[in-house]
Amino acid sequence: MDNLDLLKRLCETSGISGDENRVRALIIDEIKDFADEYRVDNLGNLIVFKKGKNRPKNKLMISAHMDEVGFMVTDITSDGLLKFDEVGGIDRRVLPATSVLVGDKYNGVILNKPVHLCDSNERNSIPKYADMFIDIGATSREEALSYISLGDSITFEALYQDNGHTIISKALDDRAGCYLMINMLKSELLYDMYFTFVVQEEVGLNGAKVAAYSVDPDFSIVLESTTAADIPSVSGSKQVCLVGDGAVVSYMDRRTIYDKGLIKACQDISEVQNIKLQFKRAVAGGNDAGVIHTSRGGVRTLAVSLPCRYLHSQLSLIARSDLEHAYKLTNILAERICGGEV
Amino acid sequence: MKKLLFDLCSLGGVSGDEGSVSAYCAEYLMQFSDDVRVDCNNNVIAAFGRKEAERTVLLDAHIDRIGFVITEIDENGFLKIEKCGGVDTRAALDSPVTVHGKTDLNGVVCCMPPHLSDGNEDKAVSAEKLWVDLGLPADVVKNNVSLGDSVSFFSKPKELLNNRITACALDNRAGVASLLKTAEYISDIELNCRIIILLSCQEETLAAGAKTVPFNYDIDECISVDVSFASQPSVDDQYANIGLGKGPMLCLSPILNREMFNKMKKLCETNEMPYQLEVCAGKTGTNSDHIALSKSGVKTMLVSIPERNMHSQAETVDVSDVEAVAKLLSLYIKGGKNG
Repeated sequence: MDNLDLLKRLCETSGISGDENRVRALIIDEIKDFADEYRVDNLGNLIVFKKGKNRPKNKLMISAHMDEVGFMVTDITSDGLLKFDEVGGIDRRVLPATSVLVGDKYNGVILNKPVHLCDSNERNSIPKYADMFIDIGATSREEALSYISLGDSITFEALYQDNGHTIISKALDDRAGCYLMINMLKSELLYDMYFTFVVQEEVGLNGAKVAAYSVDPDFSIVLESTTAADIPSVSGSKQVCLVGDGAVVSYMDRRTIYDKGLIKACQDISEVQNIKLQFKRAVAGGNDAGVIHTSRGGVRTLAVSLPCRYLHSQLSLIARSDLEHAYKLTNILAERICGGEV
Repeated sequence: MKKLLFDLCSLGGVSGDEGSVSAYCAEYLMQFSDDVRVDCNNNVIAAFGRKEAERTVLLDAHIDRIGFVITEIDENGFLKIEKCGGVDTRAALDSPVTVHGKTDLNGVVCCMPPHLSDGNEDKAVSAEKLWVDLGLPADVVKNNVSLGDSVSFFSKPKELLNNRITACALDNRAGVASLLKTAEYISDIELNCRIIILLSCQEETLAAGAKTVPFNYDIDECISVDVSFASQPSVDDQYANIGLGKGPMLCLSPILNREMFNKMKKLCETNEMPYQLEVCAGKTGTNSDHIALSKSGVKTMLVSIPERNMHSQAETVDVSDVEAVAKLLSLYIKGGKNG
């Protein structure tokens, strides 16, 4: 994959849950010349169909979510500071003094009381949302309201970097999955396939639930970024998975017990094709597979994930090599599913 | 001025490793003085006016910034860091940082994702648990980074509304910018005193620059420029009334000279320049505490630029306050000329 600039643009685009329109517009622009059909459903999911050389024995839906975690403006103080709350799960410890973008337009920073003026308790504490504020430079509520509105979306400031080995950015969860799907859509497919770019994963897997109903697939592959904690001070299975050790599949997470036939197929593909594959070493997290595998009368489902450090923060990290391994694995797995070889 | 501030805040210069920012400032000052030097500790010293003038005035601003030093490199290439200066570790997790190795490398301070939370979300992670991830293979890290290399917070300097800007290192690059501008303002007038501009090293650690450089001169007066606290939520007491964009803060403190304070205050009033008062009943916690005690004593004054979120990546100032300090200092120096 030599078009990593696309991943950069995907990550830099603002799109918290419920406000994915900019991401969707970018994706439509990328895929429209390569898709046979595409439509946007009532929740905002982008459902794409692409014909392959052959008709599939099994109907396959490959899915990735467009939304990212972030915040919404909930109120504005008389001094022009913004009150906000999280959209999706964020650990508040990554927030003090972080730079954000409000309404896709205005720079802001999360205020942080100077450490010099803190008592010993404050020095060791992370404030609740009730005691956190975003400063966009406005000096009054009226002034702030002339630029932004309550309910406006807030994202982490985009600071994308690629050092040749790893990529660090906000929103890799799950623009990296979107990126892989766009690349598949741009390639020649052996079989007809459905691709769903879904909304609102981070607030309850909402988009995938209705997309799976509409597409009505026999099988599904969810492309995700999953939590890697392979950092100092974390050891053994608590690391969950390792950045640089290839695509990740899991037997079970908090939402899904995965299809054993598909897991077996992945192991086989990994051995035959020399693709790096690793298993999650903890039952942690959950993703759209949770609602897809129970859609209608049941869908045989597997999540193929990228190991990602610092998930749900301003600076998450994936390895370029893992992108390659996940891409190859997904393509071959998709062909086997469609060809009835699972 | 905004560009100058953005340039200065984009440079490294953690205490004890000020080389990059010192070189930048020395070159800048050479436009206005032919007597500029950088000493062995990376203090930048620029002189203006006649050497034999009766009065010598020192203008000081510290050039260093808070940061970290690397104390360990583990087998996977992660870097253990310790504080260099009063870093606010509450703001450290998941922060973008620049590692000043053989070249500058971008990295991130390790954190745990909420999916694997230990449930202590209300508690800041202690300084001993901070590691940096460069996202590079261990051998690449080891070839480019050594123990003792400095690490600084990275943030892209940005504009907020109302002429406000945010960047890390505005403490005290805002003060440095005001002195660089002062140099420009005084370069085309005939001075009847000697002016020494000192951009001093290591203020954030133990004030090595402020303790040593004044020893080489016979200084009559010193004006030290730093940042101080502006109001923000839960900042109470006297700082609750300090605002961004409301002018330089003139400080009253036992060790500071009242005549200079009164003169400065009068200058503001005469020229209709807004100013704010800061009272430090004990020490000021700035270079002025040290310079005032140099040799047989120096009359010293502290002028501060109001700032929010001090010692974090989100330091915020109003550019007009930085400009106002430069204007005020030039007026003060010109006032000396007129007696």
